[in-house]
Amino acid sequence: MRNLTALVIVPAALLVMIGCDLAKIDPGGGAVSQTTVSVRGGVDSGPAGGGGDEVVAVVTGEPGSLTGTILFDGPKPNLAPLVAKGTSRVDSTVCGAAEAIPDESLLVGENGGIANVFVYLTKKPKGMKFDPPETQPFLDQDACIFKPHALVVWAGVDFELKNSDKVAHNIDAKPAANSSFNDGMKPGASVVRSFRNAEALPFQSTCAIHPWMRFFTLVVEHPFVAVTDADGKFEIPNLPPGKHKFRVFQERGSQLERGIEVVVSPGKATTVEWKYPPAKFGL
Amino acid sequence: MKRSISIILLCAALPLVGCDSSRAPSFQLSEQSLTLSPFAQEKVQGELSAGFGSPAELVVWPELEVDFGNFGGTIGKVGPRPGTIRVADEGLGSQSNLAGDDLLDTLRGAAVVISKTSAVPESGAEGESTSTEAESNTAGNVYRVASYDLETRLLSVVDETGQPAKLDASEGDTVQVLGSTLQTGRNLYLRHCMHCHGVGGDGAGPTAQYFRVKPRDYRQGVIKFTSTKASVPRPSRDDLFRIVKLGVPGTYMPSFMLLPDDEVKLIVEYVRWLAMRGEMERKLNAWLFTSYSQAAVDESENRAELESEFETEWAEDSSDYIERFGNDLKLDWQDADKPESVVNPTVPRTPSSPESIARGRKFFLSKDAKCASCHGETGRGNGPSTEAFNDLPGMPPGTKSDKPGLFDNWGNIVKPRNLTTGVFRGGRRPIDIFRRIHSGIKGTPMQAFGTTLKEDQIWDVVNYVLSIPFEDKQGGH
Repeated sequence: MRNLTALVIVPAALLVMIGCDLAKIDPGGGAVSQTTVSVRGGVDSGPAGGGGDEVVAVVTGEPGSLTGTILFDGPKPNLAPLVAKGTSRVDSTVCGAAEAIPDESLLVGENGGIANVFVYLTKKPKGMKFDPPETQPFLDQDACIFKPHALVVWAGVDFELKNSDKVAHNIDAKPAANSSFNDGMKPGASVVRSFRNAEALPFQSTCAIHPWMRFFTLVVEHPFVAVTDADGKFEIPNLPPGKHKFRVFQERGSQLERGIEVVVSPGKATTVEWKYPPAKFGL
Repeated sequence: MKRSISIILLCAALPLVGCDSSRAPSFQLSEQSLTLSPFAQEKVQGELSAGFGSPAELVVWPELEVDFGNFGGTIGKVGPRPGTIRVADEGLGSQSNLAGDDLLDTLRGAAVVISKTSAVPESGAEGESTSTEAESNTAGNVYRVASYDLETRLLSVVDETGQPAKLDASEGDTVQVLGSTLQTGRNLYLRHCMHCHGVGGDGAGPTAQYFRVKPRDYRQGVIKFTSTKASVPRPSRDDLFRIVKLGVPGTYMPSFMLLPDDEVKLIVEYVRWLAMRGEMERKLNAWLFTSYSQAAVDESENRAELESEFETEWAEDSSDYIERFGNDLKLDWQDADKPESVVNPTVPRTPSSPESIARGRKFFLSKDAKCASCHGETGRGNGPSTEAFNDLPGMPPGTKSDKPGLFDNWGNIVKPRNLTTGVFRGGRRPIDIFRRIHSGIKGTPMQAFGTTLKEDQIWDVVNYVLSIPFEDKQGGH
């Protein structure tokens, strides 16, 4: 009886081993069996082509524009400065020496408008081609503050990073669709960089030496973008008439709008007013 | 008796359990991909499968800057059965350094391209011409190897459906096997690397959880210790080769000095390919994440409309994006292997001297370099920046970490190197330290100084850094 059981169990156990050899791969040992290689898209071709490019959008009528205000729906917040005047423990002769370093994560004007908000088309309008402007804005580091705080640059175009301070800084940029970099910037330094791809959202760059420093960069491939001014106002001119989707990004509120629809009528300025409660900004 | 029957049944059932289809090896989607809506996730997964396949079903995407490996021969005779050919001369192995069982392993399931002779340069069998041969020769029909006989050199191939291929071939045509490097690289990677770095190179293999210093996650294409300039985001093949051979001192990454050079090269090629797969996933996410994450679906008032919008956008734009991203991969990895991408100082090292060391130290502490803000005034890696509370990476801006410290691109807190120990992860040769300072440590707060500092200043800092471990042994300094 016992012998009989053993006789059955041994082959059954063997089966277990054999059965598992049939699995495609042994994840532990590297003994690989029954694997295959194939070639993408047959040969002599890259990724599938097509995609209907060069379809020029039928634009009827004159271009319109979008003007508007981004508003803070609540009492003006009073954010304490990041570094009060004369209190910096790092490079105190330069950082926060003449003036306090403000908390720019939410700047609300007297009229309740929010500054440094990115408003832009979620994607390039179909079939339209744009030439980047001849000059790109540059980024400066002045009194341990990145200026501007909200930067818009074109994909594929060089732009300059400068350091006007008398101390070293660094720019640690972590984009999503592009490669990250981290450039040391000695006093008076200038570095030229560019990004290959447009980004869906602005991304943050920091300085490791002065941990309060940060700025946001949006990389675009179309001109339909604006950053709000101190009163939260913006204007996006030359929009093809029709229905568009705009994204609204503020660093504390992140995506205030993923894609809000606006109909732009030909030859006219469409005016909007978008209001957001303090809760959107973690207040 | 009854008992033995139940045992038998149990044992018979075991193989079924053991071979559950979940054991089929796969590359896992990244954490970010998993936050996409199911419909977007499916497309990302589909694209990654089309471009890269799975660990068991590798895909050769000829556009990529990867040496997928190819070797072959010429057709001696077509037939006798459908889908079979007899390879001329010395058979399929003659152009590769594979023989016997290794050759058969590589051939099993491999992709085969049969093309007309006109496409092949005359002296195509020379070793150095293989890459150009691959380029000129990728026009033809693709089949898959069903079997190969080493003695008779009879190769039988099947089509996509697994049926014997209907061959449009004649005597003298070329037969090429593609993906041999990738396959062998994969096998070596699974044996030597996977346990820490994970099947898909996510740095989360089974052993990784026990390590304080995390194994590299290749999926950003970022490698810390490179000889390439700050403007070149990827490592060269030589950089990866060196890391595998020498290990990373002070971490769990051992030296694989005992592996033969050619095996290390195959591993390097596979790691590069894994990195490209991860990058492609990351770029697809960068495109889709904002509009089509699960969070976007949850917020949306009309989910069906969002899904159909996605379907339209994917249908219209995906090929364009994939081509662009594929091109990014190609350019970035091509750049990394160009000789001009390597940081080679134009001025020779300043010989180490008390004066040079003193200059280096002064510079280390200066407002121009500010090394001390992270590494500390005595180089112990405890500068004031290590005490700051920084934003958590990958979270909405302003989300502070509850622990002080500097973060790397992978979301780990990294400590600036304690320079008093004399252990340097990227190598201890003066040129290694020079390159660390010149291009920084990619993906970390260690920034590239080469863009703004002069080379002789960097050499002084190199001399100082190399002297720090011995500071207390130099009376009077």
